[in-house]
Amino acid sequence: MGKNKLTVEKLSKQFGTNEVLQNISFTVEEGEFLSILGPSGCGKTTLLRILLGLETAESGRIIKDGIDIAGLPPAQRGMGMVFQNYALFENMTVLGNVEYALKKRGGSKKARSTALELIERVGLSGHLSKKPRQLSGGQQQRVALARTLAVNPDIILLDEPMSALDVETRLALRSEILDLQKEFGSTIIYITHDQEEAFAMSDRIMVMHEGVIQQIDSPHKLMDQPANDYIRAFVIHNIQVKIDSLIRYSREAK
Amino acid sequence: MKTSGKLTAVKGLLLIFFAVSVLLPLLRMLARMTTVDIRGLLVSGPFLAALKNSLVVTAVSTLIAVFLATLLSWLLERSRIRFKGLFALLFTLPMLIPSISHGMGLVVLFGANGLVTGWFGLKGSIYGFWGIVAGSVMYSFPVAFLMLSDILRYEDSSPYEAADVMGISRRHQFASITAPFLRRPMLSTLFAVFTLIIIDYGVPLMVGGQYKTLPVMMYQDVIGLLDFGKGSVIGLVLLTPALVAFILDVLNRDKLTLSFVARPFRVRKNRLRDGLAYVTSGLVSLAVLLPIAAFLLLTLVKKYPSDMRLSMDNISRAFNMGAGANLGHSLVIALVTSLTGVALSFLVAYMTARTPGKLSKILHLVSLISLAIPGIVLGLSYVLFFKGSLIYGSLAILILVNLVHFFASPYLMIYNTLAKLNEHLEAVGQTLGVSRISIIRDVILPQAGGTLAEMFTYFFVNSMMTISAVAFLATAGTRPLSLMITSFEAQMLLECAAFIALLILTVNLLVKGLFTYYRSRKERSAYEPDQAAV
Amino acid sequence: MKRVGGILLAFLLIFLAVGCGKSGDEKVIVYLSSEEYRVEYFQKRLKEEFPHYEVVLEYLPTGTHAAKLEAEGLETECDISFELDYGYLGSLEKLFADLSAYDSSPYLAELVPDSGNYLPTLRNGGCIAINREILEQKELPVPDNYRDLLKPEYKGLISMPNPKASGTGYMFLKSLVNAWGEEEALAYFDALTSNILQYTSSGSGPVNALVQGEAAIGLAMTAQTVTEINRGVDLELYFFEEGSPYSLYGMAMIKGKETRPAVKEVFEFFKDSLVIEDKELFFPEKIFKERDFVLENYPVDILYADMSGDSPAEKARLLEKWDH
Ligand SMILES: Nc1ncnc2c1ncn2[C@@H]1O[C@H](COP(=O)(O)OP(=O)(O)OP(=O)(O)O)[C@@H](O)[C@H]1O
Ligand SMILES: [Mg+2]
Repeated sequence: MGKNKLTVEKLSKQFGTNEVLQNISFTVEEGEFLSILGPSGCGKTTLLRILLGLETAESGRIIKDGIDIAGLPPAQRGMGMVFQNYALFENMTVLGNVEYALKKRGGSKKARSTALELIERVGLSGHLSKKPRQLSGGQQQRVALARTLAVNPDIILLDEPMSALDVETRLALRSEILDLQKEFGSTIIYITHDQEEAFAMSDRIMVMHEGVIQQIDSPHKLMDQPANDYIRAFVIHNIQVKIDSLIRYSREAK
Repeated sequence: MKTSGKLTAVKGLLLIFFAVSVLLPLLRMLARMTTVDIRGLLVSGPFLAALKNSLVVTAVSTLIAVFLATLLSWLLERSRIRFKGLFALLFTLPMLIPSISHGMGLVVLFGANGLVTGWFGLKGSIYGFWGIVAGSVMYSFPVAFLMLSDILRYEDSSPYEAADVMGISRRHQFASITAPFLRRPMLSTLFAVFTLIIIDYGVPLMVGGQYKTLPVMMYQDVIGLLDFGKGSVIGLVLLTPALVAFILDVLNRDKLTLSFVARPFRVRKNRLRDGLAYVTSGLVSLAVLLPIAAFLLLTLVKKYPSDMRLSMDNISRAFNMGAGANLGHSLVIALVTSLTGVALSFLVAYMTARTPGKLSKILHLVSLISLAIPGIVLGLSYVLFFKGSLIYGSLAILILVNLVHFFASPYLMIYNTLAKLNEHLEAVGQTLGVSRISIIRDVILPQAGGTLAEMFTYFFVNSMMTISAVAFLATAGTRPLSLMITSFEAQMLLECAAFIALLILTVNLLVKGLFTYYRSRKERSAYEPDQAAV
Repeated sequence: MKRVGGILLAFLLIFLAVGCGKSGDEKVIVYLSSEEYRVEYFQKRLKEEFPHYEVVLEYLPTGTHAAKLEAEGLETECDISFELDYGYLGSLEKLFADLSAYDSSPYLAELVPDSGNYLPTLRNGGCIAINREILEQKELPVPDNYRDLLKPEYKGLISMPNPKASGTGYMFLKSLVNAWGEEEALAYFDALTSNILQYTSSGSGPVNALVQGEAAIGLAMTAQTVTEINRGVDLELYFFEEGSPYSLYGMAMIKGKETRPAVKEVFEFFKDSLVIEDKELFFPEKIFKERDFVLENYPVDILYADMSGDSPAEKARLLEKWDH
């Protein structure tokens, strides 16, 4: 850790007159887990879509591993994304979903073995030939993860990946995602509305409001040294959340 | 971005296509309207009387048709009777023959000297209000039946199970679960049926008697008096219900995806209900089969009713007059219309449902216009616009006019299907390095298969039946089979007309059968939730 | 996205490919509204007469025929229009070539239009057709005059074509307007309406209704009634004192096409041969000064009604007032 993986400089984006992102700048370190928190409509998804190349910014630079990637098509940016509602290919089996992109990129023998490995890794070996609709929400989420990992991205973006799941499944998936991150050495940018989740999983948290970054810091610092009134309100509002997660931390530590 | 440039180009091309095939011809026709005293027409006595007649007869027919359809779809979906597939097929038979034939069927059965009238010594006359109602219910109720069956089939049973557990009475369950669930689809069904009936002139022309409706007035102005302008004005008036339906639809569109967790209903034993279901379904099947049996009888006797000896005269006469060749034309027209129609509506719907932007909205609107253009107006505007052009007088113009005439419904079917698929599929493709075309071919098309087949059937069946728009565009070398019905009618050869109706029915039944087979196979193989898990 | 462009192109090609028809100097296209059996006869004779021409007889129901010509205008592919009624011919007059070079003296003078753009081919008379069996069942007498038809006992037994939709219907209206004056005639039909079973949309409707036993009295076409009688159906036909109303049908060449020799030859063959053979075989009613035709069971020396003063404008004006 410590190496600069991604640098975003003065990114601005507007839809018509709606200034969704205003001069956003931040950096992400290699292997870091960065969460993005913020009220609905503050531009979280838009930011990720710009990083991925699905949307273009009016101005600003995106530098990954020292190279400006703003002009590259999405697939060449070395980033993967897990979308809201997973966006699985409903007509394909679990195996089909995971190996599809690999096959399309050539080398179908390799594709099969890579896909099987990944599916094994996310614990779905028993469901290879099932269709997404025959899976539970958590299982579908795992397929989406495996599909994203298949093309071997070094940064993974997740947009509210667990919003549709029940609490138990979420808790289980949390540690799985963290384990996968460790194993693949990926850098993760993670959008969530669940502050407790953000506090529990992240190295750093970025709080956005009205297209501006209010503060980007470790969960600890966010609580101890709020940068402004907005963050203070935000944190006090979640005092309960903080206590809960602290308790959980200490439990996990044991 | 480059790709969005390409998308814009495709949308532009599509818009040009619609401009040439819909807007410009229509403008040519409407140019004739400038000479009409529109105000004077709209407040004239005959117009208002016809308007009132149209509204009343359409409202009554719509209510009856939708009531019947609700009852039957509920009985089929929520009872344990056997032969459900057969009944469902029978109920949709009337959709497969031209509406004018329904009028004919009524006359043959219930006219003053009709078969049924004769057997039962009935008094009274089929001509007039109730004649129109009977004929209209006949051909429109299948549409409502199909719409409502679909809705009921996918209703989630869990709220009912919960209610049962809580001991809530059946009547309360209906008021608090069923009624709210059915309100929206019921409204759409009512609107769809209303629109269908109010623009039809086939039935009122045959059995309307002195009860004159707006489409008949339009028909008589355009055809009887060559007053295209006045006819178009009435045509525009007839367009209103479709427009209202469209606006309501746009306002209420909820983009919520269907919940896939819907639990299928487990129907309990209930002798009384099942008995009722058998009786009702049987009666309606009989009502549907009677006219068809009458056509069969008419076809196979020498001269109804004076000479009832069996003979093949009518059939051979129809073939002597070109039924064979015309059947060939019809098949070519229907097949090419269906193939191009499915491809075009998929392309347009893909653009409007899955790529955002202003052009998409315009394209969506233009695609729906065709829903509201009466066939006569469309046909004549094609004559005005395309005369002298390369395609005029060829099969191509018949295909084009059918494509446009029947575009809106299949377009909406596929639009809804595509809008329901996860909106991020293409983005997923992009991040995985898979092109849009590949995603369409490997992910979207396979999921739209059932809808595509349904669209194909819709184009095909309607192209086989249509009369109004093609009447002005067909020539001896391209005449479709359906036009023989009107020319036989004009020459009082009812027997031959009945035979042609049967011929069309047979072809359409085959196509429809193939579709049903395809869909049931697909359903079994692909989308059913894991049976073992239920 | 190239593929999409490809698909669009393919559409276009399909349309063009299907669109390429044949053409030829020897091809003559006739729009006609005669019954199929007559069309068949014409076709046979044309083949014998012009083996080297391709004469296409394009059957169109009358209304479609007229509406199509009106819409196509001079760009129509039609060369000859055969058997449109005089009302339609009048409103389409501007489309037709001048025929004054042809001798119109053999025709009854009142049948020759002022414009000289079309020539008579056929007179289609109307009669009162009766299904006596039904009248007898109901113990009703055969009516003697138009007034009789208003009697309540005939309620629901009378069939008449709607003047708005059918030339046959209109000619009954016009004949009474000429005989009684407009007001009285319209009042008469207002009264008659309550006795009428249905205003049929086609002129053949009433006889049809009689044959099927739907109605007992039809304001009908004479020729069609005779055809049914000859087929063995038990019908009778009468004329009331106002005379047999009739409508006239004619033929014309589209302006600009008369210069093609093939078109001219075919037109003249229709005029000099087919029209006459048609009278001998199917529709004998009088259009020539000097020639009469006789057909089995066809009434002779029919007294025709006064149908003068008929024009498209007059028809439009009268039908404006007709609201049944
Ligand atoms: N394609 C688009 N065109 C126009 N406006 C857009 C578009 N996409 C997003 N917006 C607008 O940009 C703003 C930010 O949207 P975004 O989806 O990034 O919000 P978000 O922070 O992800 O919200 P949520 O938490 O609800 O997902 C919103 O006001 C949204 O309406
Ligand atoms: Mg979002």
